[in-house]
Amino acid sequence: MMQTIQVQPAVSIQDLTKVFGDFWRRPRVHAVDGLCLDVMPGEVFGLLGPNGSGKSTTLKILLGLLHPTGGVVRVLGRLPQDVAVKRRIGYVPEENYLYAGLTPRETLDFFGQICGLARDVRRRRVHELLDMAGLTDAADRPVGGFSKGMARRIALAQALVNNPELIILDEPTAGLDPIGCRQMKDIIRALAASGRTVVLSSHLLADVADVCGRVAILFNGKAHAVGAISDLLERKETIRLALPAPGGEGLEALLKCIEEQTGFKPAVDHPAADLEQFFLDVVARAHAQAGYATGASPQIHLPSFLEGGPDEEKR
Amino acid sequence: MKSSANSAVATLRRWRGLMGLALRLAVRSRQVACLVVLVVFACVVVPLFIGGDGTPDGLMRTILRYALTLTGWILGFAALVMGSLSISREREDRPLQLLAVRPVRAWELWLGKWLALMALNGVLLLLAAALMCASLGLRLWHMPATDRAQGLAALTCRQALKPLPFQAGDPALIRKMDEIRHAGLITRPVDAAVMEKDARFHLGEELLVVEPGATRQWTFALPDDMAPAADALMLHMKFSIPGRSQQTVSGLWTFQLPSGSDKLEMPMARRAAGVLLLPLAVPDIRKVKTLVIRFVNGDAAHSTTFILDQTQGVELRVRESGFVRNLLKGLLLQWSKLAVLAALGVTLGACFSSPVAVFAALGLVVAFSLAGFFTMESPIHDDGDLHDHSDPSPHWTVRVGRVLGKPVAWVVAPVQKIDVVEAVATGERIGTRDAVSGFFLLATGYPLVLGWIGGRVLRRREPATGVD
Repeated sequence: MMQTIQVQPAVSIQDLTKVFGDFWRRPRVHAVDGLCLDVMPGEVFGLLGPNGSGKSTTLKILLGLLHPTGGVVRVLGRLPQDVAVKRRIGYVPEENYLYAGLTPRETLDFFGQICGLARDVRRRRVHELLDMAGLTDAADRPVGGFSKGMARRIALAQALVNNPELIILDEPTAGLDPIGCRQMKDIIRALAASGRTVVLSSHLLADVADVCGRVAILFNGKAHAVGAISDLLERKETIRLALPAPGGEGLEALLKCIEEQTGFKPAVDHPAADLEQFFLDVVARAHAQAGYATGASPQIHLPSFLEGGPDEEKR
Repeated sequence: MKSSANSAVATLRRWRGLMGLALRLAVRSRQVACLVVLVVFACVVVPLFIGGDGTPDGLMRTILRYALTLTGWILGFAALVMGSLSISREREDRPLQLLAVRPVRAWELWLGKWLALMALNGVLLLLAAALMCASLGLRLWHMPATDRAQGLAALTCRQALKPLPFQAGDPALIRKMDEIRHAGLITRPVDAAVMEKDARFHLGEELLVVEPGATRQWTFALPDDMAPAADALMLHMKFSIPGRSQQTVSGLWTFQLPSGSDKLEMPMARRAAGVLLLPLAVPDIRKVKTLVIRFVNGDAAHSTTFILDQTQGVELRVRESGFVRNLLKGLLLQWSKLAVLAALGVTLGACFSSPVAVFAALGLVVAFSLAGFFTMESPIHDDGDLHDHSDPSPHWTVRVGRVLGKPVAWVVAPVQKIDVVEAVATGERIGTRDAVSGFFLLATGYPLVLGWIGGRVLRRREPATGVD
């Protein structure tokens, strides 16, 4: 007899409502209105929507930073306020919420200490995370003097210091240069590949499309579309062919043949190179020539401790 | 077993991290540097300009009084403000959101901030003590050799002996009871004990006012183990003279021994208010069990009235232990008081936004300081109620003030129980039991209650607000 194993969702949201009130507690804004979502373990899930649609509010409720007005939220099977849950999650906020007076090394060490990591483990992880963030050269400069992109790299690094099972990112690529965006996306993909769950919010649709397996599109606090990106975007009635460009007559003959077969005149263009990839290639060459970088390093090294499973699983 | 030990280690690591963060941020934001400068100013610069009352021991005491008072104000204000801003600023600047998503309990956040302030206050108090000792040493070093011994004598810790109360059957007490009976003030039958209590109160009040030419007398019981040193016993007098701020006044002290009487002229040429310490050379002091001290106001020609302090009017100070030991006990109590202020600040910071928290903290301290005024009453009205001189139907504001002031005064009483500055400056011995019990009550009891409130508020409040 076949036994079905029921996998518990990493994040479960049932009929979530959040109403912000005024000073007298009169309801003013319905930020989230009856939202229902499930995020499965190992999934990269994106929350999309225009400003004020309730993305960040939802994420903050998942983190226990806001309390829901109604509905049920479970994160890794527990309430978001549970300290045991907080050991297993990492959070990258939308803005730079770091302590301006601390250096990146001190910041990472502090959050490691808060997570109860031993000194030698912290030292090793801080070194690897600084390397990942490309900020080894800037490790002893105060975070307050960093650019937004550099600060976001540190924010990402601090979120990973406890080797979390669930990572929540609020606008992860906002303020990052193309290299940072690419690195962020590569890290998200690598984290998902190692079995971690990632929930992110963004309004940069291309970035979401690059990394997310499933998305929910929110408007006025309600989910208007939920599903796998491939299912939502695929147009099954059309196809695209990419061929080596034939000569003038060959192309015309090919187009004529297609038109005869389908009854439609096909559109022809030269596919452009990916600007992001082109940019990264140029910068990589420049970095190789200079041998150093004044800001963040364009190279990426995923820390070895993140290559295995999360800390809780290893235990 | 092992997992609980690991959990305890992780908890300690978390506390150390939170405390280290608060300390590091205080250092980086130059708050600590500012405090160090202010402490140096209070303990080194101010003493350089202090002239004292012209006597070497008076100079030492004045330096101590100024340095301790200023240090207490600076550190108290800093503990209150830094405490108020620690959590409220982090909530407004948002780093609190990063902490709130970490495995940190709300009360641990409170504790981390408070421990950091405690550590900072401890270090700064020790620095202040070291600087005070250096300043005193410097002034002693520059004194002529003849004055140095007198200056050093001021740095001796002494136990304060209060005068014996009037015993039942004392002629003065009987005379006063007769006076009360014949004055016709008693309108109802009262028992003898109440009558005696009233008479004792009035006699005590009479002793505090020494009119021109008048004589007052106090009896002291000396301890059995008196050391036979030249400065073993000192007469301590705290007084003021209305309307004679800078004139020369004089008095005559006599102390009566089993072998006869000795006289002591009181040299009071510079200040007509303050504290006077006079050494009493009592021969064969081990054999003396009681000492009768008499004061004659010898300034009859100038119509000078001495008003003695209600609590420290006339005392004997018996040599006990070293100055440093007393100073350390005083610092322990001062540190405990700062712990209460820091706890109050951090709790208010957890409850309110930064400006509101600072104003609330300062306002509460002012209200607590003024609580004594609302509850000030003649002690006889509480207990004996023989004849009430006060308004029988006070204004409703006074009644409300009394009702509100009583619980506040009850809360504040342990904090104000020992005047550390006065004790250290006048060399009054601070009892070890008083210091330890004061420390446990102030540095653990009060912060525990305030921490519980702060932790609950932090847990109930949402660390993040706003819509996006």
